[in-house]
Amino acid sequence: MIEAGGLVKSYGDLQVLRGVDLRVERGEIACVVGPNGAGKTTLLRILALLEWPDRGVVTYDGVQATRDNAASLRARIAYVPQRGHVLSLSVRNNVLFALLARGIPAEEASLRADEALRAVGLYGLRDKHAPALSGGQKQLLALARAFALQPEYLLLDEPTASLDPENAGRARKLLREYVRARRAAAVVVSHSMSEVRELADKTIVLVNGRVVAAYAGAPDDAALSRLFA
Amino acid sequence: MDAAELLLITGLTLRVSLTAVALSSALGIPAGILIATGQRRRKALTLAVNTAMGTPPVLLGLVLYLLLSRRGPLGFLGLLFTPEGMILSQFLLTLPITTGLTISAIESLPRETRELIESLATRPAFKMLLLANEAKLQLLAASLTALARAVSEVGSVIIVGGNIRYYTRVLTTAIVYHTNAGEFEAALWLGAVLALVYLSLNAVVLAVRTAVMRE
Repeated sequence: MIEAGGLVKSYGDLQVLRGVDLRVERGEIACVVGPNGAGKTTLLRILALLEWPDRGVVTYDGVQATRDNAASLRARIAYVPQRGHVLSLSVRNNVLFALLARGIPAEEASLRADEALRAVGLYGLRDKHAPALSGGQKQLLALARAFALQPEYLLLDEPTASLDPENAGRARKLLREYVRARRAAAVVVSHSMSEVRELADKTIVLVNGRVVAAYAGAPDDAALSRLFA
Repeated sequence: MDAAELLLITGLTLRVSLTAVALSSALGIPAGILIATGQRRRKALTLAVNTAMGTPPVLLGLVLYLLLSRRGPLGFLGLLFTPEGMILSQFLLTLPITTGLTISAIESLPRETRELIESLATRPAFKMLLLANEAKLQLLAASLTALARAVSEVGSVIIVGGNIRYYTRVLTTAIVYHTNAGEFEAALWLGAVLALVYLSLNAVVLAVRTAVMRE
């Protein structure tokens, strides 16, 4: 379970999060929606332990995240930032090295890398230099890397924003199946109505750093239309 | 000075400089990455390294001379007036350069790249490897800058090496010797060889850089 309580974060005079609470059970996908500048990405980066809140706590299955245990907690998290950032390596090595960097034995890492690339349809491009991929392919690669890590917690920032409808659908299906099969907990920042409809077991709406509404599942169409208007 | 002596001097110049820079890169690059990604004392360490980058070679040579001389605390090593002593002095001179430029290279990587590696790599050695891979062109430039300093440096090698003919004389110290002796033509020829050596090293680095960029 991912739990955040009373998260407050400021950059200078700008208060980005103003007491955000969040709870995501195992086997559940929580979608975070809201306008630009609402604090969604900051929230995700704090959950990924890449930034620290000024106040408030983040816990993973009851273990409070601190700077001292951040590395061991990160080993159980896969974070996919916006725009699917990739490393200056081949497509396959982007996945393989991520696994090796987490201490996965080479033989298993190799199998997992190929399996993940097949799942997202990038196996045919495995020897290509990853920075030369298109934006959508980079995003698929970032997702393949995240799934290959077999994390307990997935944190995805607009994971299908650059994907065509077919690949976006495939990525969502993979995410849903992964979360159910592995009893993982996922937080997905999204700007897409269809994504929220398809994925959300719960939805929180963030505006100006505050949770202004929360829904079990996805909000109804009228509410979604208002949120994404 | 005949061709054989010129070859000997050029060979020693390359041996001393390349060995020193290989050692300072092997130590300075990981150290720079550790400092750039460390949470504690990062600013203080960066300040110290940047200050050390400006160390005057003659001062370093003097300190090493005192340390390595027979009555000095490290005199038992027998390194004074030897090529190994010159390598030590060049290593110490170039270590802050490789370290400092590595810190800059890692800090100038896009935030997304650093965070991605931070979030992926829970093993420190892999984190270092992945960061070095992302900054490989800048790290190559750091080593080249260190090499330029090492090849063209005269202040510390002349003090620590002693400019002994057929043993510790390198291109820069040979130029000093011939200039002092009024043999300006020989000094100019040595200067041309020094420039040629540096040009060749640059060409090799450029070829490697081009190959890496084509990757």
